[in-house]
Amino acid sequence: MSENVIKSMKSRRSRIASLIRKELSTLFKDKISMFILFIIPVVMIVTVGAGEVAATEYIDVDVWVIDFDNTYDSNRLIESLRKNVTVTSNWDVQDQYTAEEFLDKAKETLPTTLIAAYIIIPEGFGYNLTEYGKTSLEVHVDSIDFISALAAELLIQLGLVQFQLESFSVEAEIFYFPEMQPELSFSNLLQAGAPSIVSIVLFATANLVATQSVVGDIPLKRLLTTPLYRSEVVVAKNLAYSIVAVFQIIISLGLLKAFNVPIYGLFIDVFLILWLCSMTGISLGVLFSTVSKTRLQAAQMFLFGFMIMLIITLMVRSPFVLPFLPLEQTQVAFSNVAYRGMSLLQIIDRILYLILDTAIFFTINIIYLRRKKEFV
Amino acid sequence: MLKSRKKKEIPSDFNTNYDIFMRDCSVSYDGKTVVLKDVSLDLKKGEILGLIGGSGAGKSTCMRVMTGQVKPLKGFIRTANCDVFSQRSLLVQKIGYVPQLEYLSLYYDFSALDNCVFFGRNYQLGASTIKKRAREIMKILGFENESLLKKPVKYLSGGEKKRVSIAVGLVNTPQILFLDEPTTGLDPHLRISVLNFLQKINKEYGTTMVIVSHDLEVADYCTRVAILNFGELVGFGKPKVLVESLPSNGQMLFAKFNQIDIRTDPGRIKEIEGVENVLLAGRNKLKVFVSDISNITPILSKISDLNLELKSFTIDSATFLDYFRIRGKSLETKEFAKKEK
Repeated sequence: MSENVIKSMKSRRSRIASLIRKELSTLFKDKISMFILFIIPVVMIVTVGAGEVAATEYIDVDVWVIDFDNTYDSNRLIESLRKNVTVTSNWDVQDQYTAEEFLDKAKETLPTTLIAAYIIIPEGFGYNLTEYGKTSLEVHVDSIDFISALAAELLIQLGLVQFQLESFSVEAEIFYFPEMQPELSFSNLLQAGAPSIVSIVLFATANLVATQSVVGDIPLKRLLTTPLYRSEVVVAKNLAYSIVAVFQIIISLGLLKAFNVPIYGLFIDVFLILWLCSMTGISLGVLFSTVSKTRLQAAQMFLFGFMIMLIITLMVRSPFVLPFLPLEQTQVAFSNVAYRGMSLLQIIDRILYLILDTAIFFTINIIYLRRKKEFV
Repeated sequence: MLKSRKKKEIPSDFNTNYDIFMRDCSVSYDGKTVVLKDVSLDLKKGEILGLIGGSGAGKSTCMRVMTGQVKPLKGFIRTANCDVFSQRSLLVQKIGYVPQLEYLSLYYDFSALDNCVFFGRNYQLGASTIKKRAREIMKILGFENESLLKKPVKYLSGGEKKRVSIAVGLVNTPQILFLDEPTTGLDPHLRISVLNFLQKINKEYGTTMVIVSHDLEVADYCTRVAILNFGELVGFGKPKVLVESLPSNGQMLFAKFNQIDIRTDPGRIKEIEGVENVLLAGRNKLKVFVSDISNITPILSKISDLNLELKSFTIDSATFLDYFRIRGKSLETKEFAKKEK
């Protein structure tokens, strides 16, 4: 390598380092950014956990079970459910009602909120389970009473998981936490909420704060009259925010640890995957910031982009789009590593998608900033 | 296949003594409207150039051509002996830039010294070198108190912010400093004070300066002035020479009357033979430019014939403002005529 190239690379490195220093100083002085980066994730993680505690601990859930099967398996299921909710089955009231009469009574009682749900165990429940390893049952909840319905669904789900664990009829999609024996405690409820939000909150907050990085840096136009290159600006902004993300991740993981949420993956793997999630959010945020003309526009872009991603991720779930959606990849990658104990190698496809997304946002950003006329 | 690049011809009068050398530069942003038309000007090392004109005159575009931010349709431009396009990375090392508005060009939450460090580091300067240099400049700019240097910029006054911005522009010891409207928005006292500071810097470091302004006071501090009007260079040279280009080498009759009607009397006086221009100069005062100031008696008697009571008169030298008013007026008329056509 010629001396000039080495000199030029050193100059670049020095300019980028200087811009990172400036960016970090600016960021740490900005109270709103600090609030978004460090307070919101903490509040959200705790709120979701506490919210689920409220939905379950303080509601006495009554469930009626109408058992048309009356086999060993159906009885065992009822016993599993009893561990989590107050169950009244047709066998408990067989002196007063037949199964059909008890079903009619359940239909009448559900809207009165005396019960949170009723479950119908159809005939053949045990046979199907033994023969095919699959079976079905109907759970009826009162959707108008949202909190009761939520609590009932969650607790019935816990009972079912327990039942399936005992009967060895493991179906992967039912088991969200296969190693866990669910109990009604704060940490387990936090754990139930955490997989879906930790990575998303980190992605979103990094994304949101980064949307102000270029458009909010008003004197940047003057900085660009110095030997600083536009591509260096993009590199420095991304790196500066990724340094902040490190602190953010440490705080979030510390919070999970404080609430005794068991993490099954290696700490370094969990850390790296969260950092990658944040990096994807940051690169998208800096891109929004470069494209926007005002701070408000940048914030709107974040909101619009996030809503679209959320809708596609949660509702549309198009297989053609999902692999490229950072939100989906972020959430699945983190859940797999943190809660299923998978290694990074096992989720290499998700990692590659996230790296690809980051690289795409980063490249578009450099190209766009180079052509941006407002800086002339 | 290699494309053969047409080499730009270097004008015969170009030499390396010039810090700015511009010949026949034209600019159009949309390819239709020409915002700068065949502008030629030059500036030697250590000189101060004032780019003066009204809004939309092409001053900022002209400066952007000099700094390589805008590529002209045609023409030749060298700044600090660099080709502004092919040697851009070298050029940015040699120039400093002070934008018009401080709130768009300084980090308000940080001190003057921090701002100097942020910008200075891009020139591969160490923090201690930058701080030493910044303190030196700020001293010339009147920042005697160390606490002012460490105060966040947002707590400084308008004039202090302006000086911080100038210091940031000078932190890399530039060969040429470009200043965009450095006196706009400042009160008269601060305007003069900022211009005095700039002159001090120019004397101290020999920094060549290009000042874009619509403020005519700037001309008094400039070695050369370029007057732009609708993209055309209508006057370029030393302010004194430009003023001397007025009738009678810039000498005029400064007349005080008991009573004049500003709507009609200046026009009546202008119709007198030998009178070239008449300018209002305050309450019942006129500046009368005549073709031959040594032969003033017949003109004074003709003024008396108009029933105007002359209280007193002196022979005085015209100012740059007078030059601008006269040339500007004729240009406005010319432009209007052009539009009418």
